[in-house]
Amino acid sequence: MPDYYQDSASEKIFQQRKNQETPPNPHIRDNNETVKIMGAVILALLPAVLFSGYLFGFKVYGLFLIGLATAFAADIGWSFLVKRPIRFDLSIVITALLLTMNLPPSAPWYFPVIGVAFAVIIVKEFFGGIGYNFLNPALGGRALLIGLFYNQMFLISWPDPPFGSISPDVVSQATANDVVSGATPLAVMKAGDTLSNQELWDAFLGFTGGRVGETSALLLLLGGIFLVWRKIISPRIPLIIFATIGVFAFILGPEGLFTGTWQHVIGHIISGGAMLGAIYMATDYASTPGTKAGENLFALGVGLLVVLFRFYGFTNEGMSYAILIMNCFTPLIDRFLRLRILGEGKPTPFNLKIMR
Amino acid sequence: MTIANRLVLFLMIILTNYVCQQLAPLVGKKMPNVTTRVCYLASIIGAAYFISGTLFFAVMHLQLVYGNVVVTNLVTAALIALIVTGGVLAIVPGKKHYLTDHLIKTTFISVPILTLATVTQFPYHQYMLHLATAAGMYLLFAFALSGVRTRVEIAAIPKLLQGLPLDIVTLFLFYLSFSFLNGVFFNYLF
Repeated sequence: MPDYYQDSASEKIFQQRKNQETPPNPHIRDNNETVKIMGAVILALLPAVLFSGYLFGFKVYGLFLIGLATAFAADIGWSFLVKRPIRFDLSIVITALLLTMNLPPSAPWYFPVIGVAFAVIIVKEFFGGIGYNFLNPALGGRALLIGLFYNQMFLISWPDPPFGSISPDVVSQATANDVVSGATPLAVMKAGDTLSNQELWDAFLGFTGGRVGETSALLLLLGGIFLVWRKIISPRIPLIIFATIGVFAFILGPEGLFTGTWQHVIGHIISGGAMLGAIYMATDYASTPGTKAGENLFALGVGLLVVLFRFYGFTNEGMSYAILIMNCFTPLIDRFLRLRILGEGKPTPFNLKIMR
Repeated sequence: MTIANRLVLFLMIILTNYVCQQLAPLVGKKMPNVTTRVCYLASIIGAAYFISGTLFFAVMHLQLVYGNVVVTNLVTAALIALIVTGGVLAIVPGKKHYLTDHLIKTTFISVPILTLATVTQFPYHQYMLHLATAAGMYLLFAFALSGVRTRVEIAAIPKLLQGLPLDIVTLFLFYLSFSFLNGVFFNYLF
């Protein structure tokens, strides 16, 4: 190396940086970008998180806090174990929030502990951490909890605002005595009934039975619009999922083929975990395909699986498992369907290249 | 399916992926990539397994049993699997491009193992449903695992987890993810 070069600014920077390890992707410009993206998602989720306490009582705030504490403990513990610097990229906050939003309001304190620890360590960090996990961590944690505590995970509480809830025991007694209906909108539709305008309105605002953070379609939708406006997510995946669910809600109507009413179509889109799943979990960068065509395929698959689970499944819901199943095929879709590199062969439709 | 049946399926899925991993394309040589090869091989094994299982069910249905059925049923299943594997390999297109001698041997081993480990255990009244589920599970999991392995290759995985441990964790996560399909086909989840 020439002597004059050793004192140059570029050589000094190189000497400073050459021993640093390149962190895992996503590499945008700096780590601040990841933090900004995650921060925007947290901001979008916040109204639904806060409103969940109003609907189901202060206890759910406790569940959120336990989930967050577990996420930080799991991340710090794992970083210590593998001797890696701790990354405060806020992705674990989203995992904790989403998992808790998917819990029943009657969940005991150890549900978020088990679910979040599994999500952060096994589903995410085992596979290389942020950007490499093929499953949505929150949904992976939820799937484990359903496997371990199936009955408790499907208990439905009803909101009793402000800051109260009707426990699943009271709901089931009331249903048995036929005093008030304890059926969620999805259960009503699966039984072949049509939702009234009041029931639809309640479901849209969140005054219906369900899991902690999935009931208020309005707030979830507003958060989604905020994310689209900030260009954090593309509306394509949620819209394809909603369109698929809506079309099949019409086709598979209660009276036979093509007998669905607008109440069925809207009811299926705003009820259950459809909003939460389609807007916040099916748009996760790491566990969804990297090309637009791949995203379309992924979203169509999610929509069709939701229809399969809701109309022919064992329970009334299936959004989270539909996303999980398609997550499993995300790396495969990315492997076979990738963007043509500039100068690689002849131009192709949509600039796509199918690998053989 | 019992847990033992599933574990055999998982091991065969891992075997299918590992044998193809040995045939990664070399720079400058036109060879199929590992994922494509896994999908091709898994399709052959899955199809041969399904046909073998169906023929075994036909044999049971027609009561073509002999001798000590506890043993002879296994012999029958293994013979059917070997014959079907040979037949499928004879007619399948593109085998010169995708298969090697090693992969053909793997097919002749995998199909009888899958058949022996599962078909004699399926309940008679729901036999075809169980067979279709097992074949579908083998196929989908083998495809998906080959995709996940391509992603894991570029990730910073702790040494302790690299390879077989992570593949088993991956299959466990697949199993969790697909568990809701039990509700559609069998009206139970776990």
